[in-house]
Amino acid sequence: MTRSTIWKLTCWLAALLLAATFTPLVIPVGQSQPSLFSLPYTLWTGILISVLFVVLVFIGAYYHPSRKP
Amino acid sequence: MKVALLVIGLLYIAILVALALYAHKKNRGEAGAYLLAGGNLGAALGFFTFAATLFSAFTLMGMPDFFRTHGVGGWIFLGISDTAMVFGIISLGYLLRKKASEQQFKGMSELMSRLYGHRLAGITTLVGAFLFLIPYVAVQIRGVAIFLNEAFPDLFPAWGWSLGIVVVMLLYSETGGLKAIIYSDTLQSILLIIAIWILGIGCLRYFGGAGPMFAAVGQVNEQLLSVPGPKGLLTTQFLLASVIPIVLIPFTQPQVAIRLVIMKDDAALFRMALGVGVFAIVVILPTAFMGMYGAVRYPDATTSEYLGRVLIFDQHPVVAAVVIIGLVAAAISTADSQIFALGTELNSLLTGDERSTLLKMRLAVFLFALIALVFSILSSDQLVLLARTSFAGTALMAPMTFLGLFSDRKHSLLLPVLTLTSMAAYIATMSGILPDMWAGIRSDLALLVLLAVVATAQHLLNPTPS
Repeated sequence: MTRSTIWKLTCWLAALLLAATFTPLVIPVGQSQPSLFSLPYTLWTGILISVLFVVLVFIGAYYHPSRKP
Repeated sequence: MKVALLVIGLLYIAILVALALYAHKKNRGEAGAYLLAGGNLGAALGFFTFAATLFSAFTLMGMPDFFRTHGVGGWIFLGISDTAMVFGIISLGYLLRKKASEQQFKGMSELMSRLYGHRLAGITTLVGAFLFLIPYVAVQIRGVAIFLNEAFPDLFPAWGWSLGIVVVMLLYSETGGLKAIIYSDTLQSILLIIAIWILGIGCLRYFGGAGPMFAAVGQVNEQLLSVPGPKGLLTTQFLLASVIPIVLIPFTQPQVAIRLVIMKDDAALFRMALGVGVFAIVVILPTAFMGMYGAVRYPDATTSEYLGRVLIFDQHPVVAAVVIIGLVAAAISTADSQIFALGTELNSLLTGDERSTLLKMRLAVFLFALIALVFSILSSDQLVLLARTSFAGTALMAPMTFLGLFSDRKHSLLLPVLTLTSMAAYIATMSGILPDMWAGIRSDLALLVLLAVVATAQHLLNPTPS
């Protein structure tokens, strides 16, 4: 895979992640289970998405089009 | 506690003064150094100043209360917004830097004037920043003042605390310019993270861990553990209408945009963005613990009562003193950046010799601080919702800013005019003159979508430059 493809894929994944946040996958109304490490569902999925964004920032910064290979 | 507070407080002010004098010396009277810190910011300083500007008293005071009142959905409101925003910084921030370097950047307002070929675009940027940043500055000052008044009711009235904060802020930012603000931001962001984690761990330890804490919260009010929360505020539409403006902040709020532009290079920008993403998670998590603690122990307390308990009276005196200084630092670090950025924006639109425009800018900073002070005395205690209003207001400038920055077509003045009209309409909805919901859609979201559609149409229909 070329650097440009990885960069584009990272952007698409970030957009997908943001869109998924506003679905019942992350914010189901009135639902706090299943919990993870005792954290309610929306909290742990929210934290997971935040961590994934940071991972995408890390990958994106490495494969950014402005960076020389 | 008063002795500890006095010692730590004096030490804090002494360091601020030293940093301001050091920055003043390094500026050597050059306007570029005073206004834009020389435009050569490394990743570490960039990270600290960005973090301190972004995470403010709103984080340390507003977010715990927001979690206490509306539950765990508060994470979506700020945690996801901020980490998504840093992805926005690496994907679009470098384009902003590129355009800014091509146009000899002096401020976002001046940049918009150049890109649209008319001062109206710059004036729209300045007016939008002024209208919606002043309430946000006021929120910072107000938040800390009511809290200090609650903690020390016999010492000063709330307006006295507000005045003190504004005076300290003006003293060092007027002396050392943006460099002084950046140096002090380093100190302030370290203070913020220390204070917030001491409090967060204390709240967790009270319950004996996350499991017992959330079990106790569930017994008090099960609705706090899911969306939309007990008051039904955190609906999908509310969260969407909150996340979008926060993600857009680096391009719509000048104090943040300026920090992207003055980074040394793109590599420093990327490292800074990564650091801010990690910082966001680390700084917001303890506020959730503090909120859950408050939901169990002080479910019916007022905002100021709850904050007084969780931040001061439930803490060891030395911890309370560190927290108070951390809180003041958090408020000052955001408010000074915003006020100074407003001055820089005004300066970028002024014509005349450098000496006289700089003097006007410094007077304007003083005036902006005075207006924020008055607003802080008159505003309400709903810190997060007031801050959100500020984010939503500045977000209305995003379509105009993006069209100017990223479209190579010739731009008409339609979008600046529509942006000004939209900001007026948004203020009208907040004042109750216009309804808040339009055909079931929040007015701020509807206005933003409308402007985005017009910007897209402009890009597609406007002629390409010959």
